[in-house]
Formats: sequence, structure tokens, C-alpha cells
Amino acid sequence: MSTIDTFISTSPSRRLFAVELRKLVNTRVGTWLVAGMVLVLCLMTVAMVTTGGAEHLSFQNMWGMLNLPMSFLLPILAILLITSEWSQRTALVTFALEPRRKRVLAAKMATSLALTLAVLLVTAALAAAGTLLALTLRTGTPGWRLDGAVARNLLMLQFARILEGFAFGLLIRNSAVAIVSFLALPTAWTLLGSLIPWAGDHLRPWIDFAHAENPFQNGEAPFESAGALTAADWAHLAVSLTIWVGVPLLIGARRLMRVEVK
Amino acid sequence: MIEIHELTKRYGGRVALDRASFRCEPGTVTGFLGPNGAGKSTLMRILVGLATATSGSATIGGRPYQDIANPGTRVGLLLDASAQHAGRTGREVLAMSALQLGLPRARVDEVLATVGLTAVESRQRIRGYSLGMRQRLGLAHALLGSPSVLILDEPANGLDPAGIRWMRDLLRRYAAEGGTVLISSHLLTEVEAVADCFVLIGDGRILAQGTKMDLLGNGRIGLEELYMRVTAESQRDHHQIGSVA
Repeated sequence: MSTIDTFISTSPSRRLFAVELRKLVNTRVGTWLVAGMVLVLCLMTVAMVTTGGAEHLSFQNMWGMLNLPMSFLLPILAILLITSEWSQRTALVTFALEPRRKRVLAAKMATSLALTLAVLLVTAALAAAGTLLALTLRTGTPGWRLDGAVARNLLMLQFARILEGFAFGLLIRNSAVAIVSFLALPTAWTLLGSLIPWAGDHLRPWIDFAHAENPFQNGEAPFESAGALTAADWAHLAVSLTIWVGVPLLIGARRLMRVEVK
Repeated sequence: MIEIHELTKRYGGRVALDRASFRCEPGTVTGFLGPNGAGKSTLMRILVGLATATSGSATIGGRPYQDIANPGTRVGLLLDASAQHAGRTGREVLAMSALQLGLPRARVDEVLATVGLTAVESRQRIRGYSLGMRQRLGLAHALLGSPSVLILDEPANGLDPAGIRWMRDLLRRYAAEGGTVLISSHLLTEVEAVADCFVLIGDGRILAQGTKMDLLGNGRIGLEELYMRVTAESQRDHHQIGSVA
């Protein structure tokens, strides 16, 4: 009885957040996606520990490597969190039960961020397990290494990625179009760069977020060291995120407040 | 109580609702009738805040829907039975809404029993539901928060004769207990059997409204006849206006 009472007394925003979290996993697709994610991450950890070069088996490198596939999956989940309301037409119920649409949007945003946090924690746990295994099974592993800058870059990029997906989903509100344009956009900029070299040199660093994110996960052994970042790297990241996260979020949110839900 | 006052909705140049006004009193079932595209669904969407009116007002219990706190516990809605995620189970859809409305989980079993969905059916994914089962689920969803107002768009679609009979009894009982019901339907004999009042709409305008007694002259004409007469008149007016212009 007491659990029911506490349930009822919790604030509407928290209940909405709980509902949005639940939407991630309560469909067949959602369940398999989460199960598949955990399975793939476990297999990756085992593969890294058993076949990876011993010098690469530091905590931070394994943590970073485990986050690479997630950096593609997280934005897609964020896109679907919004677009599925339209493709499955559940928006009708969602916005009827909570007509203050800002609250729904805030709950979805909170859900995306919570999901990112969960992924970062799960991958950290697996990386820790991997580090332990590597220390016992292999010789010459670097062990528990974690540079502050590497951790900062990893957190920053993962949160940026999910916000990119969220903004795309909010702006486009169509699953297929949003996902395809999200994945195809970086390729489009590469193409633009090769067709018009000037644009590739001067424009692309500012408008291509994938390109702007590169210096933050530097090259070959991405997470061995953070590498030196220039002021230009930060500026590129800030500008491209403003263009691809800030602007679509603003436009998409404004439209969501007014759009007729059918 | 539902109050629609001078409600107008324009999409660009097209007028979907033209100064529509009517009210639904507690303790009554109001049948909302009209041809496809007459503005029924548009009006219902505006009434529950899913669309905005160009002018005029629509209130429930004296307030715009957006201003009702936790509206699912005051107003029960079934706008489209097929607007549910096909990959979720019926029970999960109800459990999610119960969570959002702050209701105990036991309420889910109660409404499932009310609409006659079995425990086995409730654990199947909606993808496999017949239209009738979706309507029952939609009705269960509308009843979940024990609302005092029900707004139902074509709830009898896809129900078998026993289902239609069951729905009629449910709505009658609900109104008898003081609830307010607004129901749109094309099944005129069914609406005639269940409703106390009718509102007829055509081309966005209210063509006729009143109690069953007033409109049908104590049974002198049937609802179908009234409907055909009123909608035909409206079409003729429309054509005349068109030819003058």
C-alpha cells in the first residue's frame, strides 16, 4: 500500500520520465536492442582481452573502444524516442495525457541523457572487468590508466552525439528520414569537400560535426592519450554543435509546441 | 460538462470548423454525427488540446483541457483505436498510462475486466489484435483514470453485435452515474439507441442540435431520416452559395 501511495505522490514530471524510460525497452525491438547491445559489448570486451595488443589493454582504451559502437547507436535511439511517437501514432495518447508538451519534451531529453549515462556506466564496468582480466591473463598491460582529458572527451562526445540524434529526431519527426540524414550528413560534407576544395578546407571544419569531433578521439589508438587540442578544435566543435544541435533543437521544439497531433 | 463556443478552425483558406457551438451536460450521452470530413475529429482534437483553434473556445468543466491537472483522471479519451504501438502488449500500454497518471497497478486489471479483455489477450502484442480488441483496449484506456467525461471517436467501429450491445450498456450506465459522454459515430441506429442528445455537423457548421425528444419529435422520424434530411439541405445550401459565387 505504501509503495502505491508514494507512487501517486511523486511529481508528474518524474512519472513522465519513468514512462519515457520504459518506452525504450517495452517493445520487442527495444528489448532486443538493449539485450543485443549488452551482448555485443561483452563479446567486444572478451575479444579485446584475448586478442588485443597487450599495450592497448588499458582501462581508458577499453572504455573508449566500447563506446565507439555506442556513439552510433545512442543517437539512433534518441531519434526513435521522438520519431516513433509519430510513426506509431502514440503521440495522440502521449500529448493527450500530458498536454503541456514542454514537459514531454523535457522528459524525453532527460531520458536520452540518462540512457547515455547508463551506457557510460555499463561500458566503464565492462572496461574495468576487462582491465582486471587483462592484468591476470596477459603480461605487459598498462592496467588502470585513465587520463582526465580522455575521460572528459569521451563523456563530452557521447553526450554531444545523443543530443545530435535528439535534435535530428525533433526537427524531422520521421524515423527513416531522420536516421538516414543523420548517418549520411558527414558523408555529404566529405563529398562537398572533394568537389569544392575551398569548402572542404574552410567550411567543413565548422559545419561537419563528425569532422569536428575527430580531434577529440585522436586517430589510430584513439583513447591512449588525449592529444593536444587547439583553440580552433574547440571552436569547430562549438560552432558545429550550435548548428546541428542548438538550431534544430530550437526550431524543432517550437514546432512541436504548435503542431497538430493526428 | 463540455462547452464548445463559436469554435472556428481554418487550415490556410479551408474552413474546417465554422463558429461551432454546443454543450454536453453531465448525465447525458451526446451523439456527434456528420459525414466524413465534416469536422468531427478536428473538433475533438481541439477539445483535448491536440490542435489549436483559430478562434472560439472549447472547455471541459469550465477550463481549457491544457489547464486541467493530470487530465487523464478527469477526461477519458479514445480518438483512434489503431494509434497504439504495435509492438507493445495491451497490458503494457495500460500499465504505462497508469504509471503516468499515478494510479495503482491493480487499476489495469480492473479496466481489462470491464472491457472484457482476458489476461491472455492482454499479454499479446497489439499487432495481433483485431479492430474490435483494439477498440476494447482503447476504451479500457479511456476508463483507466475513472474520468467524469468521456470523449470517444467512432468507438463502435469493428465491434461485433455483442460488443456493440455491451458498449451501449456501459455508456448508459456511465451517464446514469452522472458522467458526460461525447461520442461520434456513423452507426446511426446505434447512436439513436444510446444517446440522449444529438449534434449534427456538416462542412464545419453545426446543422442541428437538441435532445432526442426535440429532434426526433418523440419518435415520429428516425435518426437516419433526420440525418439525411439535414445533411442534404446543407449540401444544397452549399451548392447554391457556390453557384452564386
